[in-house]
Amino acid sequence: MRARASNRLNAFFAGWLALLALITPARAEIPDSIEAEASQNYFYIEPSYNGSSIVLFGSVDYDALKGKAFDIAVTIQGPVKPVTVWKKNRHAGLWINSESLTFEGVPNYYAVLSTRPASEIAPLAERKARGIGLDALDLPLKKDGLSSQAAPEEFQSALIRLKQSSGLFVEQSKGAVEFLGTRLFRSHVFLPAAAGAGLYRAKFYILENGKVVGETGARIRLKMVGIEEELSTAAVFYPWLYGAIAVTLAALVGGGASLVFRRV
Amino acid sequence: MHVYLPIAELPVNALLMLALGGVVGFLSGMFGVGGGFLMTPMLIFAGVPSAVAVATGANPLIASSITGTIAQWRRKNVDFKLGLILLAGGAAGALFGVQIVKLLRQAGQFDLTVSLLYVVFMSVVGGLMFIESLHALRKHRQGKPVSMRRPAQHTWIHRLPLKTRFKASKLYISAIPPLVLGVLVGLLSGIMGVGGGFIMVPILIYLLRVPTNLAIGTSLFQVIFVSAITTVLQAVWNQTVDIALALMLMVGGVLGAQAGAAAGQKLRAEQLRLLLAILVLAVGLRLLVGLFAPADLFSISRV
Repeated sequence: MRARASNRLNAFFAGWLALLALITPARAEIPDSIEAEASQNYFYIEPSYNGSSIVLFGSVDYDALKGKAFDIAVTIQGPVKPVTVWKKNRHAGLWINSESLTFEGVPNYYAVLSTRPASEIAPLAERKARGIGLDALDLPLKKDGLSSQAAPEEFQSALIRLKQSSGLFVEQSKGAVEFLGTRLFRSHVFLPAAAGAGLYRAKFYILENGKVVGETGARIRLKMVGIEEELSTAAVFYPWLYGAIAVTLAALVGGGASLVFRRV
Repeated sequence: MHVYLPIAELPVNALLMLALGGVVGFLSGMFGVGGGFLMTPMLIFAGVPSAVAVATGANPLIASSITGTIAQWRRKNVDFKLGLILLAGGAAGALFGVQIVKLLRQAGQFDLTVSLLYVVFMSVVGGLMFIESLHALRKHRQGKPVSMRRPAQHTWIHRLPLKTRFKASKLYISAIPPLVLGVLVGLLSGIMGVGGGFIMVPILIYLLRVPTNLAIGTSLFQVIFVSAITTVLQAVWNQTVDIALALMLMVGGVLGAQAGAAAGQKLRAEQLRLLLAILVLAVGLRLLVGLFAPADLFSISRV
């Protein structure tokens, strides 16, 4: 199991290197003013999976920044899926879902980690262009996704609040980006298990006087393996077989128990 | 110890799920009802998404009802003819029920519908059982024999056509009421993820005058098939059956059922029914509170 996983890991890395050689990464405004990577680019969901601890680290160009005040912001988000937010209204004493708004793409997990609170490091407009901070998230609405005359802002803030309370949206500044000496920095993210499998993108920004002066990125993939992968694939692609397995399994457990506990 | 559920996409405490299966199994062993009506709300309280809880709730019922049916069959407590008629209705009902779930999820009214159905059925069944068991306890104290079966009366049910003889149950009644009952229970099975024993058994006893033991055995027999059909349909149409979750629940369930059956023989039936009634009413009340005083006006659902 472990050997297979590590072989796969090697294959993935080889693939990535080939890919990196082919495509030129998006250049930062100041080349190489920030460089960063994740401690691991692949995480695997096994039956015992209960979240991932990810260390994001990087370095800044100390000579270019010498004597200047600057901030670091790190965002990590993924997998993006459409989400409907429902609002309950009171009808005859009962609270019933009666208004809804569908967002075309909402990251199931989003975290922003910065040296100072996100709202202080740059004006909203600057942060909105890159999605730095919960208030700067660009969550596009689905066409005709709004029922009745509800205000989209109300739904968006409810979405962010609910995500925050379930630990899936995180905004952190105190001790979130830690400098080790003058160039190296490190950030620690705990990806809760409910964040789910898929692709996560980490972005690293260096800001000076409220302006982004350098950025880089990294990708992290969270993947189901083994029995988890087989079951989730079967459920979607072979639903009849999956249903038959579920029934057979239950019949075996029930029948087996009758044999074992014969006297009852 | 946590286990990551591949379909619900979240980890759950394996011991908690085994215990939950065990408690439900214990009750089913003791009372002869499937216990699914407690399983689904408990799963939802434990944080499992309602769509997964409902779809998965029916799966472990197959295991516990097979065990139960075999035990009842050894005591000749299964009326197969009546069971097959209930089953025919149940299959049709389940087919509609699972489709309704799909429509309700799209309309965002699924959670409300499930809660409402639970509240209605749990207060009616729990309330009736509560009154009946108190009555039985009082009788017992007065030294009168306790019987769950009331004297036969002729009602509109006995005037329906298609009269059929059910030898095992010693009944000669129309086939229509069992068929309709089957459809109703199948519908509930699809929508609520329950086997329906908690509704079927009282109706069989009080309305159709089936002897108590046969009502329990026959209900268990048809629950096997209705919950198997529901599981397959949920897997195919909603893709929300979580086998990993179901496995933990059913292993806990069959173990609990053995303990429950043993305990049930030692305790008095009326007291047990009173306890079950209180439990049913408590779960119903908890759901009712959610309908009138929701924790949050907003909720999120994946599209």
